[in-house]
Amino acid sequence: MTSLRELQRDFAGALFDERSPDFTPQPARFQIYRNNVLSNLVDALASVYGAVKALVGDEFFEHAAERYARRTPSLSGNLNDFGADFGAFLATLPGASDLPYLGDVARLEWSAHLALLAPDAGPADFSALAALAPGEQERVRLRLHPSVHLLESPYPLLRIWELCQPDTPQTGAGVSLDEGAARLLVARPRLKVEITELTPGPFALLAAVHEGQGFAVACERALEVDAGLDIPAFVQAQAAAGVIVDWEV
Amino acid sequence: MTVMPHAPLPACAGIGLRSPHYEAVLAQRPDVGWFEVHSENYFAEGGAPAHYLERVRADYPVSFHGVGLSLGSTDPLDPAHLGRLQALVDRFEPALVSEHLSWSSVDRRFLHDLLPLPHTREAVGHVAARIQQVQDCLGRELLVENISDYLRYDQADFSEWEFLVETARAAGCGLLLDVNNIYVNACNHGFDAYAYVDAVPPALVKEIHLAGHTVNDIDDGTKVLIDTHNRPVPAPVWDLYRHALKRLGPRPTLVEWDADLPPLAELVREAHTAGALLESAGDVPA
Repeated sequence: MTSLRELQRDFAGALFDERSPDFTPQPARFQIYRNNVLSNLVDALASVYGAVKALVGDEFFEHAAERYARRTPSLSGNLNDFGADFGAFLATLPGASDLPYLGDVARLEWSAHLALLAPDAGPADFSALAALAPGEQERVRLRLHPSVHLLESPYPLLRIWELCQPDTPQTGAGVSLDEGAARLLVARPRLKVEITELTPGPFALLAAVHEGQGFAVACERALEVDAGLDIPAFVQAQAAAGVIVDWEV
Repeated sequence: MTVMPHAPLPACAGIGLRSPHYEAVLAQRPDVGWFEVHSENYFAEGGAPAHYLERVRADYPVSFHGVGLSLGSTDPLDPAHLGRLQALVDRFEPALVSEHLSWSSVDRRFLHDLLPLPHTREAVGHVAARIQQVQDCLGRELLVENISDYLRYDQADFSEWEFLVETARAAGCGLLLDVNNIYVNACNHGFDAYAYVDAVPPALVKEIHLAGHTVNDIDDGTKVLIDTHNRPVPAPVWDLYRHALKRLGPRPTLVEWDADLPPLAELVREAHTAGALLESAGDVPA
């Protein structure tokens, strides 16, 4: 008699391997499970990677998502956790080499997905920050909203992403890759995910804070790439926007 | 640990809370008894789902219905998943917490579908111990739901309804009786849906689900009913529900609709149909 463990292993194996010997005397019935399991995984990827899907087309996406779903075990009972490295997988597909920015678009969409699922963080009181003595200000550490992701790409990533949104009017005009590199801030300060293009100075500052550097180092890095940056004004604006949520000395 | 009963849900009709309806629910405050959510959709601590659920919870009782715990799996229960469910239960104090009598993972791979267990003594013992583990962890009763399934295994010590009842008794848990799933399985496997309902002890049933299904032609030339939750509750399922109410007495009843969502008003109308049947069944002792 087959144990419950053996039965579950045989069932799961036959789900992903069409050539496996008949798991049941009712193969047409078993096919319902194959279809359900694959389409649930493909639908989950499609709900995260809408711009990727718009770029490669429905047919290519379906094919790629099925291949990914077969070879990539989902390790959580929460379907929201599935698909982290779909972008890296896409970049390995022969058909995707015409779209060198595809992996970066996927990375952006996964960051936006994670931002959606991040905890909330309320704004702290920043009034005392300005009142600190100059020596103390150097030892300040800023804290970013837990939803923050910072992405750099050699391609005009935000323009490409915007073009692929369902509510963008399709004018037929494309994006020229000559528009150059993008530095993006992804954050969900309240209910909606916001994607913002940053110039090099602000990006360097937030990236330093994100990797755990103190305010002094973050300022240094920002001024290296943008000597004229008005740091107090930028920090104030990001605090008001809910991107910088707290600080400590 | 003793399993404490929580504030009971009145025997009225509720609907699922789905993200496309968030704004409409807050604006209209529809006349329904309660809302049910898929637990996993609220595992994120922040953002829109928690924001809207908090506001809905302020005015209505809620119920958490899980799809990802994989109760019947032979892998160990995932402590992280259970921990997140626990945090959710602590935060929102749902009237009911339920999961499915099925499995969905093996060797750490999650399949994200409600897969059937064989109706064996081994499976009863296995899944009952797991249900107890969940109840001990949450400190409250779990309801388990009978699923729709599309194939049967050679091995069986019990009929489906015996398997359901044996499991609930061995685990000391309650039942969420899905009347649509009984109808779907009765058609797919050729048994009497009414006899199934009659075999379930009324005291075990704490909630009822209603839903729509589709009829599909499959490759072997037969028709199979698939539990799609994408359309109104069909007439034969309403008939079986009337019978269930007569037999069990009124129970909190959810109209499930998960795909191809209609406008909120249509869902509310379905709930009112169930509500009217519940009221006329009210004189039957529960």
